[in-house]
Amino acid sequence: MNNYIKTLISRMAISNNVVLTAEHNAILDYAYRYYQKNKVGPLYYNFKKQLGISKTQINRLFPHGLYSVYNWVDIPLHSAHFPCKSIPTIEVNDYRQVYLDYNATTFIREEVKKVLLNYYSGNMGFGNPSSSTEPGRQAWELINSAHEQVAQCLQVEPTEIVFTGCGTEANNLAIKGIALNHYQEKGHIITANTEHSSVLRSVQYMETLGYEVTILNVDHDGFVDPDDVARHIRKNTILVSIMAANNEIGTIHPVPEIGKICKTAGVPFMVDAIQAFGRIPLQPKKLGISLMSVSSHKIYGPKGVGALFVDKECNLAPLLHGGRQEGDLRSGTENVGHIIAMATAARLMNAEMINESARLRELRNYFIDQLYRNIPDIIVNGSLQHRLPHNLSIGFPRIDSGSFLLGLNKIGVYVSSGSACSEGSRETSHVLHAIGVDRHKYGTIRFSFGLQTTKDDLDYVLKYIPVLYQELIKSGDKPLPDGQD
Amino acid sequence: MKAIYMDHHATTPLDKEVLESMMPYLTEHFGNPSSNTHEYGHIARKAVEEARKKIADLIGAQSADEIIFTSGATEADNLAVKGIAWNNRDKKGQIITIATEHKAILDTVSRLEREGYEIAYARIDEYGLIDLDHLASLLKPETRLISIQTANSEIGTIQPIAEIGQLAMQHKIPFHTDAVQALGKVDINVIRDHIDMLSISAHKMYGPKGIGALYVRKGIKLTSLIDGGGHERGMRSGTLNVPGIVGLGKAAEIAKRDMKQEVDRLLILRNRLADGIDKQIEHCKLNGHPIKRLANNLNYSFAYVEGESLILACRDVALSSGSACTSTSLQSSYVLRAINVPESLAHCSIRFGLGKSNTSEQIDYILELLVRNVKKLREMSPLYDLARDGIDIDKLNWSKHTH
Repeated sequence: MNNYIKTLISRMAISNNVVLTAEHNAILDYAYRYYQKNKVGPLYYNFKKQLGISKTQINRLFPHGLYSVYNWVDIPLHSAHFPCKSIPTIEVNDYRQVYLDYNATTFIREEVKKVLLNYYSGNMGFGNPSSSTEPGRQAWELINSAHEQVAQCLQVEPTEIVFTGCGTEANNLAIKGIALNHYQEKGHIITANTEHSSVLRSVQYMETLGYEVTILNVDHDGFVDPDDVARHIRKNTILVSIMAANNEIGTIHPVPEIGKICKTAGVPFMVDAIQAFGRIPLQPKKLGISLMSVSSHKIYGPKGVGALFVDKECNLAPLLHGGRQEGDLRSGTENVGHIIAMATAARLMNAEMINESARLRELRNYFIDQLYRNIPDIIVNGSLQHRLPHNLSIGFPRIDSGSFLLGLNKIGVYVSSGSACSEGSRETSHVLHAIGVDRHKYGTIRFSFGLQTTKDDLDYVLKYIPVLYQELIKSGDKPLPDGQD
Repeated sequence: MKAIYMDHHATTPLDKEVLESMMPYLTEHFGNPSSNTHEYGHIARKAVEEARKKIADLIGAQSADEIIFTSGATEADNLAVKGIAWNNRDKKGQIITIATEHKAILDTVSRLEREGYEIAYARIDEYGLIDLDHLASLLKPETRLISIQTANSEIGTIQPIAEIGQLAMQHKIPFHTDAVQALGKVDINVIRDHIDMLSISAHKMYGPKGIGALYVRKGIKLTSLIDGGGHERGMRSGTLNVPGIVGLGKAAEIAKRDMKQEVDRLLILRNRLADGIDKQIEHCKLNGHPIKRLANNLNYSFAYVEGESLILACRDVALSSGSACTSTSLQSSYVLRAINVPESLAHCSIRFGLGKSNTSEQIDYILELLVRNVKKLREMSPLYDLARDGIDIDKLNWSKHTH
């Protein structure tokens, strides 16, 4: 350790009121050496293995656990997420950047950019929609029009749309909102094991408060069986929450069937449509859906805004209390600029859905055909038939997805190995686990396509994937067993 | 004269520098900060971490990790109060606040009260200042949280935050302050003032709407309101609003940089307006503390004049009669009622929220407008006739030149 690091540690210790012990020093020393050697920070797992110090102990010793350890010895935080050993390099003579991670987030499209820039440069006023001043009234009208536009896309009433701070908040509001409304008598909630973490963790949280929870298993393609839903509905079931389509493997659930079952049983049906909105037709009123969440940054809108459709028959307890905006369901000054941008994004998405989805489906089918030709023993995770048009999750045999992904990164191809939302962790994907993918045999890469994806882009990717794959096979990089990365 | 904006407590226009800082993140840098496998994600993450540092700098936090981004101050307030309360769902306990807090606190604590928590309101005086002795007397072993705002959004009264912090620290009770109105105008240092949690809003300091933050001192654990991917140290899940965060960071940087100079300027303008009102308009009362108040705030009751009518009469000036979040209701301000302003005067109140765009010419223009319209409206008021005949209906203490 050099002097800079030593000073840093003592300074951090003083400012955090930590008295350095031998344990602290061992952890910091190990982290520092690990980083020097591997150019990545160690994970809790490494400490456990090397020093026999558990995550709980580290969290007790350092104010912010692993974050502090990194900070104190000057390891860049993001380097925690590169737990791979070797990054293969291949020669390319026609380098280009190809973004294939549209399931994680999308760029902001021109039409939406225009709205954002127009608003943020002050051309549309800056008032607080709740203020009775003239600028306030202008802002209020903008919000109103956004409600109308999103409502139009879903064929619902403008007052049935609630704008939130993101898709995660919309999911939380739907689930906790329904559940907390039954706080006295509690009740039973049904969901599935491939739901997004914002749904699963909300449901699990309700379980800690005394609610009963049934988490349905999906089949090998990731489908929830509607009969399974029907079988598990009880007298005290207060909510069924099943996503329209999965974010990792693109599987489209039988929403109409489940909707019918819920409607007959009189149970509110919540649908996380964050990945599906604008990709497949979804009209909540026709499908028996009581609550449906949408996120802006998955449909070429800005981050920091989402929406929840709440059927007017449905009663929710708000998550945030205060100025009673959004029909008292979501207090807080409205994010006017982002909201009107999201409305524009939703409108365009809806208008272009049929053509764009057909285009992407064709591109995806071309991509998978070509890929099969070059690497015949790949597997497709999830169903190819009932799948989002822009998603493809591929298992590559005998390689580590992390190395593969970074190799692709180096030649300008941006993909991901799973969901971007599991912050700071590379735990086993719960979705891949649920559909029984053998992670010892396959390294999974998610390719997701969007507005800017062209056939030329895919040809570039297809040209180099086999080369890179062979490199990895040669270097003997195997997928890491569960829990080791 | 062009329309004048004097409602900076409700919201502020976006600063040009802030807009510029946000621009790249509204356009080409669209990455998801949680995408840790490619450059798009890294750029976004870096921007987020830089913003976090700037906010930590503004409030004197030890570490940038102590800043949790939220969708706004309402969420920050909710997270602080419910987050602490819900750590003790079984044993419940007591939460102390005051009656003039923002609705985000008041509605939250009344929700908690229905869940079985005990809510205690510390006494405040006629200026809205907290009674520290009473606060101390309320403390007990089951006290889970003290939440007192730094400065009020309607009457601008600044609370003795450092003293409250000291008291809270001595009793080992977490102390939260809603500093939304105070940031950039009041010198706040979370270490010096012993603040454990502090709510921040971007759009009240020339940043964008839809983004805020909660400072959470290390060691304080909160039950999250929004669960999911475990972002923001698990306290607030959800993909981060990158352009908003960058904007908040820049706004914080500017607030810190320009505070002294801007506060001095605002004070001159504010006092010019107050002196003018006191000298030229009779029967008016200043609500809130004459000295311990935000540099940009004035709140006056003009007797015998309906506040809303005066606002309508001064049409080309954006003014309000109270908090934006409750102004759609016709009730008189709960803040004024809490400091015992008589109903007859509470209805006659106007809040002046000064800001960067206001000039001394504007102040003079508004003064002239006020004098003219108050006179005109009073001429139509039968109550005013009575008053002129010497019948003092409420036996009021009219404000003198107090500042």
